[in-house]
Amino acid sequence: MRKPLRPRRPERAPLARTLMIAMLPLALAACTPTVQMAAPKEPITVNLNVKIQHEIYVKVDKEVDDLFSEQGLF
Amino acid sequence: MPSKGFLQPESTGRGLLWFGGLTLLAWPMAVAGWSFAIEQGSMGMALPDIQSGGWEVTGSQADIRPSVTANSDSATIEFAPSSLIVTDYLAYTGAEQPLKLNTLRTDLSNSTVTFDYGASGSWAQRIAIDGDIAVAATRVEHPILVPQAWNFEGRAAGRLADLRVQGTLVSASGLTADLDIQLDPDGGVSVAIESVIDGKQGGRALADTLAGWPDLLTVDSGNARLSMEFSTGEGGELEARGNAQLQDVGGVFNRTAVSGLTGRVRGSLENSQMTASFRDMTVGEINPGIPVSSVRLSGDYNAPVTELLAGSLEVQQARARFLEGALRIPPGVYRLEGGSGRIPVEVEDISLGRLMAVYPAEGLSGSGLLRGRIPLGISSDGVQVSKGSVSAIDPGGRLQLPADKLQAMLGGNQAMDVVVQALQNFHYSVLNSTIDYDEQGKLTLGLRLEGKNPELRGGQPVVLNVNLEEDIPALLTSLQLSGRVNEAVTKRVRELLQESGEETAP
Repeated sequence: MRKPLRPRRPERAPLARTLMIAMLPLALAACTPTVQMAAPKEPITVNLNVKIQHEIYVKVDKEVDDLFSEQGLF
Repeated sequence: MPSKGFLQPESTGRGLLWFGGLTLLAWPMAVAGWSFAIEQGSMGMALPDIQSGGWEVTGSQADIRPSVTANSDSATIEFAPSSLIVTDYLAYTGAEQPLKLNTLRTDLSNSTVTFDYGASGSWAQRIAIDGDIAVAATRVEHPILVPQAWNFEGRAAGRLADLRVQGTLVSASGLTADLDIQLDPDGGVSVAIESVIDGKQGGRALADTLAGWPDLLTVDSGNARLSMEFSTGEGGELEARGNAQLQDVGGVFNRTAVSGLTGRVRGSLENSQMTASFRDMTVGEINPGIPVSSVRLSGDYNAPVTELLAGSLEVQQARARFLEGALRIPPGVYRLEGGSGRIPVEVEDISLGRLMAVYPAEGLSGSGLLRGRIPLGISSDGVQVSKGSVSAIDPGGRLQLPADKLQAMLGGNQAMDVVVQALQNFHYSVLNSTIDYDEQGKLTLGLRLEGKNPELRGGQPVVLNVNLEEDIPALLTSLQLSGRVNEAVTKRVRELLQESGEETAP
């Protein structure tokens, strides 16, 4: 069985081919500093004292409270 | 209509009746070989007050309808219906805790008393009772009981020395119990009580009967079969045993909801030593704000009566589900003498994500599993933990805390900004913490976190050493108020706060 034929790529313009060749060294150069920018191994160390306080407020409107007490929710 | 020997003591005078009664007892001692019968009499008389052996009986009045047969060896008195003895006051003050009864009506209908004066031995061995007895007291007082009216209906059989009384006891509040009293010829007494407490109504009746019932303990569902035995020997020392068979009991104790409590508890008090045995105890859920579920417990606890918290706990099985992981106490014997002993609670595979989800603050999330060991100390001052530890299981997990809350908590300097940024998406590889908890409810964590936020400084490692203090009672109050337990607990906590005057508007 014959393989289906690939659609033929349109031929690049000579100007585009020239630009791609010119770009390739630039991309490679850009990769190099990324590797060098890896995180330093020394950790940031922070010592903390934390005290958690819960502020509890109970304020119920008296009429609402009476309604709940007498009739329930449903 | 009464036949021969009929008496009308109300009209002829009580003195005559007393004379007749005394004659009945004294005459046969002096003269032998005779007999007589009074087929049915009607007597009304004042009985003498008694003060003997710790007993005090005053204001007794008999209104009885006896049939008497007597011979030289014995006399038998059969009481016809409507035979009553009314006593104004009866008390037993010979024990540490006195028992007092007011206006006691003893119905002797259909009972028989036999005086076997021809036999040898003490009177207690020669007087026998057999028949129905009904006793009603308008008020019974004892330090372990809420004062109220009580009724008893049952049977009495035997000589006074070894009398057995069996029947049903009912309190005005609705508690029903089967009672079995056995007197011992040596002077001891055995009392057995059995009762079935069914549902909310049964729980209410029990609470309204026992003076020591905690105010904040309510039973809402399930049933309990309770049996208790008390006995005193010759020396008068009290021995007590109790057994409770619980089936799917649910309710609220203080601020904690309990559901699905099933199993058997046995308790005994012997030689000043208290023993409690827990067999196949299971609890569906215990929820003080963060639920502990699927509790399984089998074990024994022994302690001297004088120091109930300084005993020895033998654990055969103790485990529960908690935050998608487990809590477990390894089988063994743990001595708690002087409050210095520790019960090691092992923490297994607790979900940090679940912990973040139940915490009463929005926006917290996390992942990873924790395990560790929490040595629990129990004393009269409360629960305490010293030198506990937990740590995350490899490979760690993530922690995300909301920036606004952290900034509000930590302040706004440069170091804190790093912490706040790191914790927006903290990938930790190490999470270790020491755990201490004091009797006032202060939890102190010595937390060490190692990890990074990939978005912070190119993922530079961050180490956080946090000394964190948390007020656990306040945390639980916050959870209880927000409805995490149930509606009844929310209402109770709100009322307690309002009563204590702690509530204020923000």
